[in-house]
Amino acid sequence: MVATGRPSFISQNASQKWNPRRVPAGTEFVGDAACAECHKKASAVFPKTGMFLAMEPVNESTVLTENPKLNLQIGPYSYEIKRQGKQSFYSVTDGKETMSVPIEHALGQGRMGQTYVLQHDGKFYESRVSFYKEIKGLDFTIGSPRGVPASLDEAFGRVLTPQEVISCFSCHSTGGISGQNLQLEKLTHGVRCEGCHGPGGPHIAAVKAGEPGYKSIFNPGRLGGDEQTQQFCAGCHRGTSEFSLLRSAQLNNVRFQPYRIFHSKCYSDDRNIRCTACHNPHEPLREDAGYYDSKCLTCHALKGQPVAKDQSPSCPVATKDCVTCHMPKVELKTAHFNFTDHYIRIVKPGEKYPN
Amino acid sequence: MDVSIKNARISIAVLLVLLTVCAVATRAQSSTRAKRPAPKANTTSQQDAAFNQAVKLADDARNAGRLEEAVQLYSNALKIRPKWPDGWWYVGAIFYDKDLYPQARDAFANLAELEPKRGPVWGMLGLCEFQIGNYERAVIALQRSRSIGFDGNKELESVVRYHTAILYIKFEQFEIAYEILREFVLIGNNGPKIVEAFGLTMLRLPLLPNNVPADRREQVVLAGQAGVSMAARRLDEARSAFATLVERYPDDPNVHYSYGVFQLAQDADLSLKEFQRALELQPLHQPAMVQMAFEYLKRDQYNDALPLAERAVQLAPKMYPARNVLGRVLLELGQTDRAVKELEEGVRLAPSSPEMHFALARAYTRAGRKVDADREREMFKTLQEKYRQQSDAALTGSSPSTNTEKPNPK
Repeated sequence: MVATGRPSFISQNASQKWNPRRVPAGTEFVGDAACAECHKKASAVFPKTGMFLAMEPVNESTVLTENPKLNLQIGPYSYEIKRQGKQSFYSVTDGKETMSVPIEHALGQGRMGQTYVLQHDGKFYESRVSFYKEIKGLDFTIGSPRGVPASLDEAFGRVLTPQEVISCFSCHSTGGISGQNLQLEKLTHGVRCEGCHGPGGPHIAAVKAGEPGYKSIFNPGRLGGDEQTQQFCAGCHRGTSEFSLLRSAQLNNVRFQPYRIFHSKCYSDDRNIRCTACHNPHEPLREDAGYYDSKCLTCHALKGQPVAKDQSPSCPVATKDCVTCHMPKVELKTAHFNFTDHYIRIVKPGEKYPN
Repeated sequence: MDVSIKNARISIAVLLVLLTVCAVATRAQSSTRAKRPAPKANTTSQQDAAFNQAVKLADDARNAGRLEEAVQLYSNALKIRPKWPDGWWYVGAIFYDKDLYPQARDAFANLAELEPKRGPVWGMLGLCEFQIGNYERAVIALQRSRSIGFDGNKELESVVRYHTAILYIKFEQFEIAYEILREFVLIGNNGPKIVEAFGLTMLRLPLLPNNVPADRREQVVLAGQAGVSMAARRLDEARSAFATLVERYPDDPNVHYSYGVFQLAQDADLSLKEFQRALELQPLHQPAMVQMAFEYLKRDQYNDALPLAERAVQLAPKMYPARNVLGRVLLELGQTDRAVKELEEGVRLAPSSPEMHFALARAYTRAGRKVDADREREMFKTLQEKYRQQSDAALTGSSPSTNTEKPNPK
């Protein structure tokens, strides 16, 4: 059988590909300001996006400034996150001994919550407790054991392997990784322009030389549906390549949108079902359900209208707010947050969460 | 209780308890079937009387410990009613207890035919086949019992799990064996037998534990300790055990390979070096090629991955992970048709692997074969759910039994 997939000229060849989680050693970034000189529109609202805010500088942290003192008691362990000037300190004590460090890396924008990557005795730790907006307080970090820790060290947090540290900083910052090494001195907080598009230097030079710019910069928008969703975006938002993680995640996997959408009957290589078909990564996330109706109607007929030959069937029930039924919100109690389940489906009343 | 495999026996008391368990399960499955079946319409009252008399005498003989006589009497009853499940169980149990494994196997095989949805029956059948040395039949029966379940009998479950794992080791399916052994660690069992089995897995020695040469026992135990720590995610302990292992056995390619696998989640650069070292020591080390290809795929170094994946498939065309990585690399290189062929072969080799169906679904998706992609995606979802249910059952349905060979009646 002859393949009938996407013609190769549409996608970018392997040498042009950019993988935010695999930054080659020695890569130099020019920074957002250089991009903003030409790309004014995208740059104007980008700082309000979740990706830009994937990591907060501690000295300017909204979460830590608005919540200057956070406390939690777990068994004999008392946790405290306390603001002092432009710094915040994460402490845990069992009443006899105390571990306390300044917070250097605050991961997450605070829309759901914020977790801290801590450094102690030359090791990186994931904080055992995180801030959650819904409760305006601390609770166990998602994935942490939800019991009384066995020791002060365990109460402090989970020691991260070098590979995990690289994962944290490659998805929450730009320029913090070079090859397989950390370079925190060059880190820019959050996922910036070059986080997704790759280094801008050659692109700027090409444009200034009068050459077409698109040849010298990576554009994820030109990727095919499956490639964008399951590889590029899934690099951080998690796809099915991480089976071992997903298998143990159960309900937690609602957080991993590429994995969930892969389950959908309408999933395909079509660009109308890829991540950027619904989400503009340069703009803040749209939370009004009606905004997404037009995305569904790109393929599906509208109720009451005749179904064209190449159209998918119409919804027999409603004409608007499709996602409220077909992509239900799932409450993840451990995250104190309702996530949109990206497994697009006809949800049956009372059905168990389909893994 | 820790009995050597050679002398592995399950006491008659254990088997009688198992019978009770099975009988309960049987009754649950069919409320019309009593432990002692009621006379059927087409049997004569004379036959019923003879059957009941034989059963009564058999029970008496069994309770009095006259097992040979009991077998004879149960056999008489089974001649009258060949479809009496409990009779086959008693006969099989007594034969097993007396080390008459072929006879026990025949009895459990009859029972399995009558009651194919009783996990303990398949478990006992598998253990009999193991004792006889029919290892392929054994592993099939044991896996079947694992997939059905054990009606709550933790001891038999533990014995079956152990034997399944060591058979996969013998069949060189080390990754599957590792996953099965990991179930012991997750429920808190890391006894000597488990350590030994992990050691064989880490060193990729296709041997049953009793066949490990004396001069390799120390290495097996050391490798097993590393494997247990790795499975339990006690990273510092595992790192230390692997360091000792590498220091003491620097010329064993599988030591470097296992250390590389362990390091994949910690330091992938070091992993690549360890896999490379394994290949220097054993140039046709196929698993090292597969691991390196997967790592290069992860790093988008498709042209580095391709020759390794191709060679790995050439060396072991029936190993589905090699097909998986080759197919995925080809997909990334835009060779969609070739990718589909490799992944289809992978699915044929491993029809129950969700990973294979997922990769094939993506390849079909890229090829624009929507119907095929939908089918594979549905299969992926089904298998993923099944895997999750089994995994949950293994973790929540089992107590931390330390037994690997002899089920305990309690």
